[in-house]
Parts: sequence; C-alpha cells; structure tokens
Amino acid sequence: MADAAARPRNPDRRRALLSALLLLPVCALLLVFFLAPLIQLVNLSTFAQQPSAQNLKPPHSLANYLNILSDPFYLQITANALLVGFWTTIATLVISYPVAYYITKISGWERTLISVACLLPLFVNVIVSILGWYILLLPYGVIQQILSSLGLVTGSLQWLRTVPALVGVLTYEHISFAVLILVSSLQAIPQDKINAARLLGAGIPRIFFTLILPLTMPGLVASAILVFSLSASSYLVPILIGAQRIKVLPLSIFSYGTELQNWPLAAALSIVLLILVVAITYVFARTMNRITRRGEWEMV
Amino acid sequence: MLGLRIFVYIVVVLMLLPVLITFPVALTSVARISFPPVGLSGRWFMAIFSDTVLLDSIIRSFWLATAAAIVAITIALPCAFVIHRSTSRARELLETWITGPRMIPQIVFALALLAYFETIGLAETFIGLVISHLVITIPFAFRTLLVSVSTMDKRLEWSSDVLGATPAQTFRRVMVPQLKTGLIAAFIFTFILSFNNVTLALFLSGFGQRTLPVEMFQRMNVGGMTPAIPALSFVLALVGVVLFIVLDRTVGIYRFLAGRD
Amino acid sequence: MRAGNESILRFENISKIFQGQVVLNNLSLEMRQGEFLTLLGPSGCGKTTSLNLVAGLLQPDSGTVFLRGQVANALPPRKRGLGLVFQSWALFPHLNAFDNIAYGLKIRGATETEIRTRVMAMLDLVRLPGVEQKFPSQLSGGMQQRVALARALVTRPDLLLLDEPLSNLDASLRKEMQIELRRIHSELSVSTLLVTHSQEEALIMSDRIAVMRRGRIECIDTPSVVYNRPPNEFVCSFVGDANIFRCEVEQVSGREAMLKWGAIRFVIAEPSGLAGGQMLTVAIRPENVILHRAGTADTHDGLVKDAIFKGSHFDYVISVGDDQLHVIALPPVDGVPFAQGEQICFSLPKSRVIPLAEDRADG
Repeated sequence: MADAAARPRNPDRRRALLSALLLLPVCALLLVFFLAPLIQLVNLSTFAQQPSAQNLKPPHSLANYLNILSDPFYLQITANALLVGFWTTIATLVISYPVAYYITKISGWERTLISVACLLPLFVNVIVSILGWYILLLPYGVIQQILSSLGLVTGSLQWLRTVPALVGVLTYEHISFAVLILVSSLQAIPQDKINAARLLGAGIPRIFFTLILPLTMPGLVASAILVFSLSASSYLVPILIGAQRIKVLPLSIFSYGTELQNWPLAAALSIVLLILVVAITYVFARTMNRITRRGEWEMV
Repeated sequence: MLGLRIFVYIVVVLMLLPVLITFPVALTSVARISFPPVGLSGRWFMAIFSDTVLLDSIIRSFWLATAAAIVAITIALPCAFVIHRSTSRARELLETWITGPRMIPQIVFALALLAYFETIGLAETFIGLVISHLVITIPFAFRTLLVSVSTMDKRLEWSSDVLGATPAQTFRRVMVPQLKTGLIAAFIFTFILSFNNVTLALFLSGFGQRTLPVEMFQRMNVGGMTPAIPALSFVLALVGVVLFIVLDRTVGIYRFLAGRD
Repeated sequence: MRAGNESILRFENISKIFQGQVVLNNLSLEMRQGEFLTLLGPSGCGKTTSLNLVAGLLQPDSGTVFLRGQVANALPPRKRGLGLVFQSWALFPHLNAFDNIAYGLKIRGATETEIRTRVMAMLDLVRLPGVEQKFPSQLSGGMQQRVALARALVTRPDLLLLDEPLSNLDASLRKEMQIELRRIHSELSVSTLLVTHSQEEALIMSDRIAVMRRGRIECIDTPSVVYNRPPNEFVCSFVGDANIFRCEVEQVSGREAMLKWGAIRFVIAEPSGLAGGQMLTVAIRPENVILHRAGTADTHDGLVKDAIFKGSHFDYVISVGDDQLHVIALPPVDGVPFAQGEQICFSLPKSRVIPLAEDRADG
C-alpha cells in the first residue's frame, strides 16, 4: 500500500522520455541543418580567401570584416539596405493599418474580395508579383500610357531602377504580412471596451489614440519587425526592378555567393547583415515595449 | 468612413494590378512583352505545355513541395503535442527554438547552407533542397498544428481510454480525426511555402535542376523571357485565388494563416 | 436495494494533491455491488477527482484503490472494465450514433452481427430507436446523453461512472432522465457511481449518498437517513433546507432533554451524551414545524412576517423574538391560510428536532 505513492513517478518519467523522443527529429534537424551551418558560416567568414580543392583550410583572419568596415562602398550599401528597409516598413504600415481596420469592419463577399487582393502575394510566388510590376513600370508601360493619355506625363520615363520603384514593389510584397498581423491584432480588441468609451462620450480620434492604437501596438511592432527584416535583406527586387543599379548589401551577398564565388566575403557580409537586422529589431522592440508600458492607456 | 473606403479600394486595385496585367500581356501574338498586346492569341498559354524545361521545373517544384510538406507535418505534429502538454517555461523555450529559423534573413541561411552542403556532399541535391525547405517550413507547420492540438477535447481521449482502446488506437480513431482540418491546413501552408520559395532554391539547386520560381527568375534576369512567363504567372495566380477562396470558405483565411503570428 | 455483499469499489486512505491544494484528504469509502451510490457535494469538494481516480485517469498520491477486491492503482483505464459518462457527454463528433455506441465493441474485436445486435439493443434500452445514422451535432442534448449512456453500457461494465450527467439538460429533461437512469440501473443491475452537486438528484436516484466537503466524506448513508438524521450543520443545510439554531441544554431527564432557545423552551428526544449547561446546535426542517391558530401547552408564539403562496404549499417566515423560522406548510384544513402580520402558534415536534455535531474547525 505504501508503494502506491511511489508508482505515480514512473508514468511521469516515462512521459518525459516519450516527449524527448518525439522532439528528437526536430532538434536533430535544427542542430545539424540550422545551427551547424550558421556556425560554419561564421567560421567561413574568417577565411582570408575562398577555400578550394588545393587549400581546404585557408588561414584565419578578420581581413574580411576589416575590409567591410573600412571600405566606404560597403558602408554605403549597408546604409542603403537599412534605409530601404526603413522606408518600406513605414510605407507598408501606413497602408496596411487602415486596410486592416477596414477589413475588421466588414464581412461577406466584400471581405473576401479585399482579403484576396491583400493576401494574394502570399499565395503566388514573388517572381510573379515582381514580373507584374516590371511590366507595369516599363517605359511606355501600362501606367505611363494611362498617365500620358491623361496628359500628366510626356515622353518615356525610366521608373525602373529608381529608389521609389524599389521601395514601392517591396511595399507591395509585404503588405500581406502586415495586414495579416494587424487584422488579428485589431480583432482582438474587445468591442465592449470601445462601446464603453463611446458611451462615455469619447469621439473617434480620441478612441483611436487612447484605445485602439495602444492595444494594437504589439501588432504594429510585430509587423514592423517582420517587414523591416524581410525588406532590408531583400535582393530579388533590387535585382529585377533595380537592375542592380541601387546597391544594397544583400545584392553583394548574392553576387559574391553565386557569380563571383568569394564565399568568405559573402559570409562576412551576411554576418554583418544578420547582426544589424537582429540588433535593430531587438532595440526597436524593447523601446516600443517601454514606451507603451508607460501606460496612459491604462485607463482601460 | 467613405474616405477610408476609397483608400482601401485604391489599394485593392494596386494589389491586383500586377497580377491582372499578366493576362493581356500573355495574350499577345508576338514574342515580346508589350502593352497593349500586339494581336490576340492564346499561343503563349499553349506554349507552356511545349516548353519542356518549364514543365520540368513545375513538376520538380511539385514533388519538392509535397515531400517537404509531408515530412514537415510528420516532424511538427509530435512537437505540437509535446509542447501543448508541457509547462509554460519549457514551452516558451521550445517554441522559440522551433520557430528560430524565421528570425534569420533567408539569404544568410541560404548562403550558410550552400557552403555547408558543399562540405557534407549535399550540394545541388534534391534531398538537400528538401531539408532546407523543412527548416523554414516546420515553424509554420508547427504553429498551425499547435492551434489544432490546443483545441482538442481531452475528454474524447479519456472516453476512448475507458472504453478499452490502447493509446495507439485512441490516436488513430479519435485524435487524428479531430486534427484533420489542422493537418490539411498545415499541409497546404507548407506546400505553398515550399512551392513558392525562391532564395533557398536559387542557391541550392543545381543547374539542370531548377524549381519553377528559379526558372522564372532566370528567365527574367538572364534571358529567355517570352510571354509564356506572364501566361504561367497568370495561371499560377488563378490557382492561388481558387485555393484562397476554398480555404476561406472552409476554415476561414485569417484563422488558417494564424500560424503566421 | 438489491446490493450484494461483495465490494465492487473501495477507497482506502486516498489522498490527492493538486498544485499544493489538498483535494482529497485521507478518504475512505466502500461501494457494494449493485448499489447506486452518489457522491454529493459543492464544487471543489473532490467528487470529480474521486471519479477520475476510480476510472484510472488520475493516480492517487497516497492510498489504495480497490476494484472488485483487487488493488487497482496501477491498472490503466482501459483494463478496468468500467463505463463512464462525462458531463459534456464527449461523443466522438466524427462518428454517428451507431459508431459511437459500437466503439467499445469494435475495440474488442466483436463481429459485425454481434455489434449490430448489441448496439440496437442498447438503443432500445435508452429508448432512442432510429437515430443510428445521426451525428452528435444533429442530436439534441437529451439524445446525446442517451447515446453517451448507451456507449458506456454496451460493453456490459459492472461499474458505471456518471460525472454530473444531467447538469447540461434543462429542467424537464432532467426529471425525465433521473427516472431513466434509475430504471436502467435496475434493469441492468449495474453498480452506479454518480457525481453531482444537486441534492435533489441525489435524493431521488441513490441507494446511498456520500456527502463530501473539501476532500472528506461528511456522511454516507441512505437518502432517508442523510435527510432526516444529518450528522452536522454542513450536511444538514446542504441536503435540503433547514432552520439551524443554537440552544442551551437546561436539563436532561431520562430519554428527553429540555432546550432553551431565546425565550422558548422545547423538548428533544434521545439526547445521548448531553449534559445540563451545554450549548447544542439543532435543526428542524421547514416542513416539520407545525403551525396552529390556537395555542396549547406545547406551542410557542410567533408572528407571520411573510407568507408566500407557492401553489402547492405556502412558504412562511415566522418571527420568533429576534430570530426567524422558515416554515413550509400546506394550506390549513379550514381553508384559510395564515396571513402576514397574523399572530400564530407553532410547535417543534420532539422527534423532528435534529441534534447536530459541532462543525470541525478546519472543515
């Protein structure tokens, strides 16, 4: 009878063992094919030259990093990438927030239509979207023809290969992500709080700034982080729309990684990109947390 | 409200424009991209089927996505169970660990894998590609399945227990049916992610082994662009729309994509 | 009623702790084969936990569970040969009624014909012919209940566990099902353990009631004894309504004792262990207080503070000095009910006054 108390331990231990077993595949996968490659990437970035069949382990040095940090070219492209990310994030959020708000207010076929439009880029691959914009933005392309017939422009304009086009297409790509996050954020606001505020006589702007905005701040922060990290590290749009004229950091990673075959340098550039993106998003998230927690909106 | 409405519909038009434009452009009768199209012809839609390289890439993408989706679900489902039933501290840790790959810019990961595969001999192989897709899709499959697992009613399992079923029988007869919608959603989700993936495929697939997005990219970037590409784009977009509507009508699109944070 | 002598279920010093809270506190009880035993108590008393322990869904932290005389602590639920119906019925949503009921038989590998016969027999027993093809979402609450019952009983368990099976039903359906459960119990002679917080259910359906509070059994006996002779204040007020008040024992003589309550003196029978000068808590049920128009030597004076007509009876609140008595009475024989403000007399029949033990301090 006394050992009846001892018996429950065994099911617990057996369960822990089973859990460990079930988690084994994913842990093994991530260790071998996520963590290890990244560690090796750091290692690779310290090679002074491309490993080859003759020279499997070139000497270690920080030459690549020194090169990057001192060469104004690399500093410029890094700044470009971060700026592109910044502008894309702003544009995306400014467009997505009202759209997400509108979506939460409607239903039925209208909702489906708008949702299809906003979320479509998630269902078709990026190249399709970029191709579409490429066609639209061509000199004498569709948009220019329309504007021309309205008398707003004359001649042919080179819109591709410009920064606004780059930011524009990147914004297009990322609106879907932001809308998705913001819709769930907005939907999570309990309607009775808004009703209570209305009953107390608060007008729409006041309700927005004191109630809706603070409560959706986590969603905004999450969207901002996601869009920034995706757009700052984008290379496809710069290649296809920017025609590599606008130099951003990911472009160099791409070139050195594929055509130019200088993997150590590409690796070093990647690490720099990674650190910058992670650092910026982390600092941003922390700051926003601290700001919103200062809670004048604690009234709710 | 009216101002908002107008704004939203302008956005809707701009969102649909790049997809809609591919249709008239694809209907052209000549071999270059132009708008308005020169003459009207469906030849470029037909040309998709005679372009063997293109078809190859479509089939390859299809099998890649199917393999990735099946394996991703098989790996992610047990994780969802374990995490659902563990304490909150262990949960946070495990969740962060499993969804970690989402935090890394894909180009960085692609480069890392490129060099890594070279050293372990998986460079330019189908398996290597599948594995790379697994790493980035498992977080999404996991999230979707976690939602499904969380809504399972434990009493159904208990009833099955008391009625005499072994754990394996309970899993097969009671739990899997409850997870059916979650499993389908996770499968579709992972399939789409894998099928549309560009970066990993670009870095890791061999020259003759391109996936569809890579093939389209190379045509745009390097050469060989014909109106067949816009034609294909339009078809893909149509498929996407149909898929979207089906998912929205059955599961609800925002719930389905809820795994995306 | 027709309970045999063999024990089908026994708890011996069972304790269970959840997150630092003691849910079951050294609990012991025994259930005889064939009886209908109800665990009755407020929420949090540990009754559902006890049920889960019987089913094997939980393990006790200490103590032993005996099923049919054998130690069952380590026995997994599927080997215990029980039937279980949850409060939410827990029907498998992806199976129709027939397949739900047949589940246990399919697990045991029964043949098609055997399954068919027994499932149809079950549907007859629970009086639900014709719903085999329907899915749970297409069935009403009452029907789902019966299907859940059929599913639990088709494997012919000798112990049926019911976890508040009637709480999700509306009042009229509940009354119907109470009778149904009782009928099925006798037809199948299956030992039944019912968990409920409804004292009405417990009184109607049980052979014995175990009243639980905070992980302990306060008393376990037939409904009649539990209702008429509750051991303490908690049981007395939980099962049925009661007027409870403290009195002073004035004197004990032979088989009677004289008690003083406020200005009133009355007599109580069988005062075992009482001595003069003690304080005693007593109770009397509202229906046992007798009201009279005219007084006699045995009556006391009171004032009708409230008279509420409830159709079949009257609810009265009688002022007695500074205290009150709640009285339930049929309309008087002469046809004129007592009115508010009327001076009346009441008596406390000595056989109906219930002496109560002190409530445990930690109770």
